[in-house]
Amino acid sequence: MVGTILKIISAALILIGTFFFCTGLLGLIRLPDIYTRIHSTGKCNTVGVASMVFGLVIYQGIDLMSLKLIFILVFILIINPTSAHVLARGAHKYGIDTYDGTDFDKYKHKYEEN
Amino acid sequence: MFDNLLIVVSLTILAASLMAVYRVFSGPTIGDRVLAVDSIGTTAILILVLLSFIFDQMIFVDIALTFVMLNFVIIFVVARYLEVGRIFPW
Repeated sequence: MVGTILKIISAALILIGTFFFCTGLLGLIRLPDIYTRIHSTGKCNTVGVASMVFGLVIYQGIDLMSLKLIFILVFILIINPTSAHVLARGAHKYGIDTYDGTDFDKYKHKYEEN
Repeated sequence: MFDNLLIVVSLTILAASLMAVYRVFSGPTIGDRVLAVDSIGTTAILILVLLSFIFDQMIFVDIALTFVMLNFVIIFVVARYLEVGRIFPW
């Protein structure tokens, strides 16, 4: 009985992660700008990978393999937002423009004052 | 039942990563291409983890753990090239 409930919970987590992952990759081709694309994949891929790996940890139970899966989970949760931030900062300093519908750019204004 | 779910999920993710392949080929700037390559790397990590559950091979999780660190290094090197203009400090 408990095993069946755990299987249902892990299957639900894996399906939620698949939905978020596919949404992030859809934003990668639909959004107009590099910064909005970073915004899309930096959040949705993190949530998708974390949810799917956590569902597999629940399915596996306490084990050596689930310990490695928790390592992957922690690394993804640290690395993926950090790399999104670093890539956005590098692209802005390289001089890649935002698209035409952007209202304001506070970071560029900060450059011009200094 | 659970293995069939994992196979369907991995095929769905593999089909969704074709959108990132389109962005790699048609990205206007270098940052778009690098971001799409990073997304493909994340897809590879997930598919390796799912394959280790489908085939009951524990060794695939180690390879996925190595892939996570390699993605980290790739993104940081390219971001440093964009920001500073060179990769090595000399």
